Amino acid sequence: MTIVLISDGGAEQHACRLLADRLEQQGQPCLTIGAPAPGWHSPWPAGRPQLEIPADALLGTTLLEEATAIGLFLQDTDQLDRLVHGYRELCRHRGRKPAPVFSGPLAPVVGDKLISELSSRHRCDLVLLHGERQRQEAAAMRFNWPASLKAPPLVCGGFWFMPERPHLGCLSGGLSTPPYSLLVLAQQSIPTQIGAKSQMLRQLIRWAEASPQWHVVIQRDHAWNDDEPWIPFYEPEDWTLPPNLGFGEPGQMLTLLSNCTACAGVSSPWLFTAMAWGRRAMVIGDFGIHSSQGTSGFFGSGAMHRLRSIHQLDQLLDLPKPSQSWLESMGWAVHDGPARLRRALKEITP
Amino acid sequence: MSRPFRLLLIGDSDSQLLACESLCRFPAELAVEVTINAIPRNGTPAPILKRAQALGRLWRHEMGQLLTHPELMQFDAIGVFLTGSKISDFRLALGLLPASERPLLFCGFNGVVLEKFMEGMSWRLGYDLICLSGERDREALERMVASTPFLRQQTVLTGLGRSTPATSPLPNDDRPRRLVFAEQVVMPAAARDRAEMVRILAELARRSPDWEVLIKPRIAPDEATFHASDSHISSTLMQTLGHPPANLQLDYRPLPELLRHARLMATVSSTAFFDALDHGCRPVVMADFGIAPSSGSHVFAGSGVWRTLAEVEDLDALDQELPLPDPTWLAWMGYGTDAGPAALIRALQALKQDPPAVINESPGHMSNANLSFTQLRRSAEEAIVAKNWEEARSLLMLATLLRPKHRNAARRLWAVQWPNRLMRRLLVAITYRDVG
Repeated sequence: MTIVLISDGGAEQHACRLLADRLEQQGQPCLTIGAPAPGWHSPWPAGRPQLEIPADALLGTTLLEEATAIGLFLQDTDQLDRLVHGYRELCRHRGRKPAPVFSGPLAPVVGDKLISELSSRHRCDLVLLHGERQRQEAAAMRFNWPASLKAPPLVCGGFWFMPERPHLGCLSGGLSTPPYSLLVLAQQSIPTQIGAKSQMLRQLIRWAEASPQWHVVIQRDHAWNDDEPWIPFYEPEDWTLPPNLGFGEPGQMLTLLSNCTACAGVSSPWLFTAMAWGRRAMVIGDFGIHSSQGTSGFFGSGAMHRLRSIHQLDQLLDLPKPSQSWLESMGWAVHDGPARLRRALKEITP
Repeated sequence: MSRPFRLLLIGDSDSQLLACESLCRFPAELAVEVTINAIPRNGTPAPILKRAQALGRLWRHEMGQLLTHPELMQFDAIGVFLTGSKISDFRLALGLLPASERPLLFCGFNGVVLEKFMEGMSWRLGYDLICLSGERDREALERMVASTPFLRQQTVLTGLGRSTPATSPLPNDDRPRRLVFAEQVVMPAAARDRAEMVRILAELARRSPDWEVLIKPRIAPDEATFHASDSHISSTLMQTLGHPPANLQLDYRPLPELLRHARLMATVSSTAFFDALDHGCRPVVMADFGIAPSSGSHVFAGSGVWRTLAEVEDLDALDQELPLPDPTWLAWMGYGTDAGPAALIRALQALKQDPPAVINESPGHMSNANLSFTQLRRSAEEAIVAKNWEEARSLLMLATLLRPKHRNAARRLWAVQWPNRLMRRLLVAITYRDVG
């Protein structure tokens, strides 16, 4: 009997492949199904789901009939709701018992974002979260809710969306000797202010020029196509980039994270990876603690600094380490996520 | 007799002034002398200003005038109930002095915090004292500041009670068959949901011909509040129903007056829920929109009075069936406990004796307070005076990122970016404005 993991975006497909691998190591067969990739560049390593079928076409197949559980990791939460509803209706119509459906946000979130993610998964049978912090916030959200308002049980799966360790031979990254490397995680729509990405790029250029012993690599943390520059209306000829600054190649984000000396970003979820793997991490704090910037989740990280507090990149080597207790509360303390997920699924399966 | 405890409360929007008003229920033995400064703002409802005037002295100074007011330092404490970055602007302006040489500074939230708690708290961290409603807020703060330098932030629970009626509330049976609906400007926000809300209330009124259903608009059509809305509820009513049932009406009388003479009060997620309890009126939470964080319904779902009004047989049936809200939930939210304005004064008196240490940020831990827009502008002006153009440019760039539409910040940035020295000096002189 099989756990079917359904995903759409690149990050979701990558996370589902990782989860499937770990579940299969425990003897649990899995089937990964993903929407066909649109042929964009992706920061994640090459790899495809076992079956490429758009999620909304699944109800017309028999693929879900043998599932013991269904994991839904879709960016479009409206589609998630439709799929859960449609699947259960179909089972009812065919006189079958539906398999439990589980889902959850890909990366650890807190506050309003977590509440929104939980609300959009209210019809699931189980919600996969990350750490104790999320569990506590979910419990506060559901405080004293009536029995009629059935809230799905929660399970903490840790940082299941990322590999637990860096590539072979990269445990220490590039910490001890120059040349050092700074990986800058560039997000699609954050920072939100007009001109903020250009401002960030100017700062990175200044840093690279002031620190020739460093390589600065800007890596987009999302899928992209050639028609969509990271900075809207970016024209390469308008910018003079120093030789030690460049943009990351597709498929290499995890390699770059494995090898970097330090990692910076506004609120990319892959900052969690850099921190968990022991890299120097800088959460760019210039845009404040705002839900819209995704920075609320990094309050308490101990890694938030202003761009202008760094004049040359060697200062990154002296940054304090992120708060270990914060990182653990956000999910890094959980190292048996897949096993917990299996147990939780067993508990809700009649 | 000891001298009174001199308190200044500062509010700008009507919601913030309501928060100030709700605090002014100090026991007489605490001898609190209140001054309220309502920052002048278009559309502030006149009845709110009138009520503020009745609580003590009413000032109408702008922020700049207030900060240089000769009496400012004579207060024992100043409560700052302003919106967004202005909260931290005020603290940064006054907080440069040690707590023992200036009035204590405190702030709080207005009623139930439905969203953006972390954002809002991040503007407030560093105040001498922060008022929270109840354990719900305190637990959320503890989760937020765990293992940070802000763990030492002082807080006090001031509860959600907002009024102390002079007379005992009427028993339920002596009240008219009336349901008051406390409208909120943006809860729900979508026009479609607001129309649905009105339709459900109209249907309920039709099913309950012996009852009166009164919609209490949050503001009159010509008034303004913190949240901007596209359409006033009076328009929604007409556009949804055309002709509302005769027993469904808008009523602009003050909410307490309506609550004193109603059996039931319905809301989606308004703090008026607790006002109803103050006045002996039983609240019911409208569950018709399900769990929708944008409506704050997740907060009120645990109230014990979460009901789908579209499914209620009629208001007689609801009147019979509806219990009082769950006491466990009420206490968690901050109602029906010892928390109240007296606790605030006692906490401030204790801090007078033992002033709080300044919470210094340590590397890696930031709050919004250090990103204050005004502070950025002030620092930029210092850099301009010092002819540190690079620094001025950087600070103004950040300021324009925070407030892209702010004209003077944009002009100052434009001015300091001129490479020609003479031209730059001229433009810097022309675009100068006092930042305060």
